[in-house]
Amino acid sequence: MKKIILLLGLLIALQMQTTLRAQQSDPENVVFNAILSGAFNLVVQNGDVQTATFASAADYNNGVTEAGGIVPGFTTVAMEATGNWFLKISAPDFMPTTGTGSIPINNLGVWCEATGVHQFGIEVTCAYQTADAALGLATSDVTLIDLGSDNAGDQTDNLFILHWLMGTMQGSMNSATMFSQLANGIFSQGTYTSTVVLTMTEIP
Amino acid sequence: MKASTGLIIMALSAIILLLPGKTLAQETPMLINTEARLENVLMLKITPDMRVEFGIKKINENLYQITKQPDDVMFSVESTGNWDLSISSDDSQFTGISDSTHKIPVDFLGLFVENRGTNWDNGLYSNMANITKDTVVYLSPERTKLLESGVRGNIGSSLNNAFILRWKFFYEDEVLKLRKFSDYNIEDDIYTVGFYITLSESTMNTKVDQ
Repeated sequence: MKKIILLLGLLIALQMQTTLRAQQSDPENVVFNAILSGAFNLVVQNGDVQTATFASAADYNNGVTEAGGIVPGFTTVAMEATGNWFLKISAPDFMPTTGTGSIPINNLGVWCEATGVHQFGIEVTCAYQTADAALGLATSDVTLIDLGSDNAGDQTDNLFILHWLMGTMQGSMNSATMFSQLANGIFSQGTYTSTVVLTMTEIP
Repeated sequence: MKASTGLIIMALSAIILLLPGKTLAQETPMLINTEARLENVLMLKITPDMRVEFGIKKINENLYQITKQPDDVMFSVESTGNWDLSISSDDSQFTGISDSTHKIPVDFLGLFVENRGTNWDNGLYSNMANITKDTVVYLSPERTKLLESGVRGNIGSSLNNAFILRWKFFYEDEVLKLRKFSDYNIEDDIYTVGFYITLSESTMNTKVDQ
């Protein structure tokens, strides 16, 4: 009887040890937080330096474009955006490095072409889609590309070509020829520079 | 008091909640450098065949008939700088086309320039001075200045600087009738001579320099 009691006691003790060991496995959770912050990138893929050369009377009378006179004449821009956005443009007047006076910035014009998935009139809008409707730049910001239905997307969605014009008097550009402005003494022959600022702004 | 404190706290909370939304509106600027090079242009637009021709026929000792009037010449200047213009003949004499021994001195013919552009030619205080504004000058192998830049400058396109070169026989002018035909030995013929128009940059200051 005593032996039986001893065996039972041993069995209970072993059982208790097993139970105690099982209690040592303590599960822990790893909390994985995925934070999708807003990302808005404007990428100038090419054409960040533009040179317009007026070398003939025709250039002064009719202006210059990428077809002749402006090298390269276009700029490819792309937007990566987790949300909706719009694009503004502005530039100061051309100032001389040689020459006198300054060239009003509205002699510089731009029009846009959508080459990505997002198209004008659907996901995005643009009032300046042809050379004849070109935007004459201003010293204050003007919206160049605006929100249509939804323009969040990557570079393949938001890919645009900005075509540059100078002195062509199209759209809202300066209506006087470069020649007549030159003759009126607004500026002289020489070399002038300006920096165009493209600003992509998130729409909260 | 408690109610108003509660309202203030709610309003502040609303402002705090709204603020991040505004400040998170990201702006990404990119720059494009543009350069405009305005190079020098000085161009005379004129017919390439610069010759003057006229026909004359002797009726009697005191009467000649002009059988062919010299053609007026339209020309224009396109220039990014101020300019002067002069004329000269390529010979001292007109030569007969049918007989090259027929000669008439080039000063038999005069000329003047009529302004058809928007730049004024009222003198050195306007866009340019037109030497022939009130007179007629002789054609001569020597270079004769016809137009000279004024203080207002004559930069411009062919709209600004358009002209007609008109020829005039001196006998047509009352004052110049003193020069008699008998001074010349004129044979019946069509006479011709070439001429040069020389366009040159002027040293006159431009308006933006003034």
